[in-house]
Amino acid sequence: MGQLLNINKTQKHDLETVLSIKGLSKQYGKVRALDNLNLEVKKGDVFGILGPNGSGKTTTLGIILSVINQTSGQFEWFGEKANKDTRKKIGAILEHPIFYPYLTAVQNLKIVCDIKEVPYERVDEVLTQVGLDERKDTKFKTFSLGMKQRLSIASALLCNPTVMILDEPTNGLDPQGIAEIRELIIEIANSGKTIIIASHLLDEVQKVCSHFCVLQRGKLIYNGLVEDVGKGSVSVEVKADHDDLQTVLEESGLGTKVKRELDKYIMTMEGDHSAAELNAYLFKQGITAKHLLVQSKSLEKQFLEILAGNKEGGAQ
Amino acid sequence: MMRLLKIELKKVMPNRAFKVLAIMYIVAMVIISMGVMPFFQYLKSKFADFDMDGIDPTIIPFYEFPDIWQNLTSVMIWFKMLLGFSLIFSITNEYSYRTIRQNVIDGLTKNEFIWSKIIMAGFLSAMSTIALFVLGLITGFIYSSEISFSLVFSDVYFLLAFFFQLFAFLLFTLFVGTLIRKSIIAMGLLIFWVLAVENGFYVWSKVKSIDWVEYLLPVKSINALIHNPFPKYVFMEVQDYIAWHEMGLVILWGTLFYWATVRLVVKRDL
Repeated sequence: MGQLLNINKTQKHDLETVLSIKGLSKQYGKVRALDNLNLEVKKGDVFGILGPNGSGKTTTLGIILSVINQTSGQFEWFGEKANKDTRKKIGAILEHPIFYPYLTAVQNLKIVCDIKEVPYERVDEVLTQVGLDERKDTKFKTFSLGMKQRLSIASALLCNPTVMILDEPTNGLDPQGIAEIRELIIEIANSGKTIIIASHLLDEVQKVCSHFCVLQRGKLIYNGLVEDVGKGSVSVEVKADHDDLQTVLEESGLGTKVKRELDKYIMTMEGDHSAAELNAYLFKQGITAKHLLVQSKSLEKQFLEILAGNKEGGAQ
Repeated sequence: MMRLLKIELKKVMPNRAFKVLAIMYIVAMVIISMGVMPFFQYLKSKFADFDMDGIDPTIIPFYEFPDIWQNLTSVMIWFKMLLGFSLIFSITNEYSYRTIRQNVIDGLTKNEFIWSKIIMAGFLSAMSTIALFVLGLITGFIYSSEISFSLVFSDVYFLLAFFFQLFAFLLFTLFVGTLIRKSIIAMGLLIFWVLAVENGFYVWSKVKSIDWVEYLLPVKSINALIHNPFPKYVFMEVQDYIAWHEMGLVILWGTLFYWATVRLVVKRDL
């Protein structure tokens, strides 16, 4: 991920906008699924759209891909109004993989070639890229979920897209499948493509994305860099054989909060105090720590904080 | 247009339901255009067994030019339901597999999508018309007592009417499929509409002798384009030509279904 972020950081200044969304709203009957959304995605970004289920992620992607008609607002791809030619430059997968079940992998991809007006030679190339070449003449309905997901990534890669859109790309996969898909996404991102990923899996976004935004009940409540997430307070996990470790830690003056979790204590460090200082302090008190772990703040924590801070946000 | 037809053929050709329906349609077409005379001969031999030599169905000039064109087209149109089912299958599958959504995401416009189905309907109608023409020529040459250029081609415009009938009907099934989106319900509705609703209104309008009701029934209007020629073999008067106003009505219904289908697809979220 570090490598990925650096690429994006250095490219950031002089790059054009790939997608800009202005004041986008969608009304389903009485429900406002999307409320005045403004977003910008620059070339080379790996942009994560986070949000709980039903927060408007898929609606947003559906609108920018012209399958859902927006109630109001606009969006532009590559600085122009969306049309079928802009969509031919985008590789997108929404929700679960969608193909004709009675057709083979190759037959399915050839249809996509015809739609995107791409030569058939690409079919074998992308199937090799996602590691499906051995099953290319098997019917789609016989595929496992992981293979289906890989086929949809292959299909999105067919037109050698400048932008890829992935909606919950690892949904329902087993851990191995998740790891494979992630590796594939990072590989694609490293080749300089812009990627937009919608997910409710924070860990996933933290592992692959450079930027992220948070949606809640159709409203944008946060937009920033994933890199910035780790900044700020550090907490240290401590385990030691002592009857009242809690008090000892609280009296150290190195941190603010001390929280107990099963047999370990988690202290949020204050200022520039480090884990080393804490270790030295404990040693002075005659306590030997048998477990000492530094945790920087995870996206999960930040995400929950953002959501908690916006409880009233988007409420009708 | 060729691109859209190519896409549609790629989707449909390997589909088992389509293959089965198409084979049934082709077999039906061959039976209708080849099998009637052997059947008459079989009847004749049966009648002979019962010492009723006076009755000879083979004298009915079913396959003789120019009668053959009206005879073949008016019988063959009964089988339009088979093609209608295959089209309903192809459109409702797109909705149930959600591939219509993926097609649009991949870069097809909603208009192009529905056009690919309409082109397919036109393609199926054109292929049946051409096949019927070829089969008609073959059997016509076998069974006609007299052959001349004018006899062979004088009533060939029935094939054009057949094309319009089939195409308009397929546009109707496309509309039903798009509206309902579930294959079994759409097919059920199609049969219910054609057999119960239209026949019910038709009979009611005959009882009350309100003629214009017939024109409001799309499938009846489509069927009425080519009149049933067979009563003429028992010396009754039949309309042995295509009436312009009836042709106009079929085209009007076709246009209406085209318009309604496009509107449904474009307005709806996928």
